[in-house]
Amino acid sequence: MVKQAWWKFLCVGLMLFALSFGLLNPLKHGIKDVSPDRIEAGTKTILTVSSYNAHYLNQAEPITAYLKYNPPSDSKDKNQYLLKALTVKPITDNQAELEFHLPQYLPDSRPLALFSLIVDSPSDGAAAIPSKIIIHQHQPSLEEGIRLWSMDSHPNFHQAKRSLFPYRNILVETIRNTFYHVSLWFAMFLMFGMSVYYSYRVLKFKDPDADLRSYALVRTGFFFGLLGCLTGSIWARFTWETWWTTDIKLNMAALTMLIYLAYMVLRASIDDLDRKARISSAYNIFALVAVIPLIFVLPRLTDSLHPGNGGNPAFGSQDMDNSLRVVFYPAVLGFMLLGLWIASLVYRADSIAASLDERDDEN
Amino acid sequence: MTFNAYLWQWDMLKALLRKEFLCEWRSFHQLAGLLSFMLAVAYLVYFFGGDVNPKFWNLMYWIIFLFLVFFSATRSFEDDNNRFKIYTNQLASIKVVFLSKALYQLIECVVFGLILLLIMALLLPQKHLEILPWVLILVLMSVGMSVLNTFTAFIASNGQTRQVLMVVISLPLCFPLIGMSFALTIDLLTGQSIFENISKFYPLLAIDFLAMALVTFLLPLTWKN
Repeated sequence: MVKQAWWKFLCVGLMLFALSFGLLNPLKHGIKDVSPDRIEAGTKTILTVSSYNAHYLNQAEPITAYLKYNPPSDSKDKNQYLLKALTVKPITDNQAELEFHLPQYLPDSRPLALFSLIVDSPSDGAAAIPSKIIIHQHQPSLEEGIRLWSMDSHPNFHQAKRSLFPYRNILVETIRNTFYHVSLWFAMFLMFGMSVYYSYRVLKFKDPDADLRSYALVRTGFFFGLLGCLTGSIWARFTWETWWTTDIKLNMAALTMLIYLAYMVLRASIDDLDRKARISSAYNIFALVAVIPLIFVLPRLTDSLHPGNGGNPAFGSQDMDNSLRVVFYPAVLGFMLLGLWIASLVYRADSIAASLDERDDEN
Repeated sequence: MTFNAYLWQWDMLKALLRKEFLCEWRSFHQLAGLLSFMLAVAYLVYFFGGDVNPKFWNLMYWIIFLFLVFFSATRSFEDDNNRFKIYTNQLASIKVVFLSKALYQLIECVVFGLILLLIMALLLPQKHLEILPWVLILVLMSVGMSVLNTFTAFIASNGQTRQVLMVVISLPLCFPLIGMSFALTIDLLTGQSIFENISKFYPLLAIDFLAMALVTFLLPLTWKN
């Protein structure tokens, strides 16, 4: 049994791993907010940071914090300008007061400049909040600013001890949905693709069995697509604050669902079994070819909130890091196997029903 | 295939196309119905729409156009009863039959689109409307549209509720085509030059070729009864 159904065991294992590790592994230390975020150069300032998943109170070594200058995008100066906090006073595990003594001049020739805040906690690792703080200077002086902000040696930041999921503002805990939402769509495409192969067999070799297989795969793929919409909708509620947006990828996905709904309507409207198999197979092949430009071409041409579209990177270093990949790839494989498993059960139920029908007809 | 066989097919195509026009002429009341529908809706927009902006104008144009196209495409396999099907099958290959119907559909699409354009341009004049680029987009869209619609009409003619089925299965498939031409014509109406960036036409052309390639592949496999 194990030999024959090894992939089902693999599926269960992968799904259990993806669900347990994906939902339970905590996020890295991150900075939620900092106040005040507008400060004057040349003053002594106390910044209060509120963090996520940090343990500021029980640290063996002292916590350090830095302000980092964000150069404008057209800047040619590749040097890093950092300012170390004078003192770091933890208040609770997730809150600390940082005291900075800001120099009179900034390494920027404009009166206002953007800065990031980095808090380095020895056991939690370093966390940053990018481009959050704006510092104002009265008389810009670039040379003085560069001299005052240059550090003799670059600090070595700590790494988290375990492989934790990255903390991203706005996403926060919902980053885990990557494993499920994206995998569902991948699995859906695998099933639609395989159903096209069986549809081709129906047309080429007049194989009635292949029609049942193709229909089972389409129905399971459709179900996965609906779940993909649902998980995406819940995710959108927490990050974009709406259940549904005019984002092109969402609407193209809805259209994909419509095309496959039409496939089912078409199947239901033809009585003759042989004709039903042939016509719906032709439509199924047509449908997948129509869906590919909808999902993969059109969204890339216009603006979209999804990665990989409208100039956003697809699975670039910004979206995925190794701790996510460890769960993401097994989850994709797990969902694909789960889909095939469900489809095979649907197919077996269908073929039993078909043979029962035949037996009734004979009697 | 020898040259004579090609010639024979060409004659066949001409004869079938002639048959389509003849049938259409004999049931002229249907065509007249479509034309009066077009006129009525355009007049409705004129009467109640008031001062329409380019976006609304564009939307109305393509929606009326789609209605006409779907309605006329549904008829393309409807009039052929089974006896006629067997008769044509013995005489001509399915590719020629399909080609004649698709060509007829293409002509009908372009003519409808032009008449609609004239009516709407007369009733609701637009400042930046240029006829020639519009006709180019219309023709490019009609090629894909006629191939897709003839194929879906053929598929739907196998089902029971033809007209509903036809719209249900072809509308989502036509969506990329509609979207592409919609985006091009809205540029035209808002006064942007569409020929500056010729790559905007590529997706439309790609969909046309894709539709034709798919139909040539699927048609011989689906046809035989």
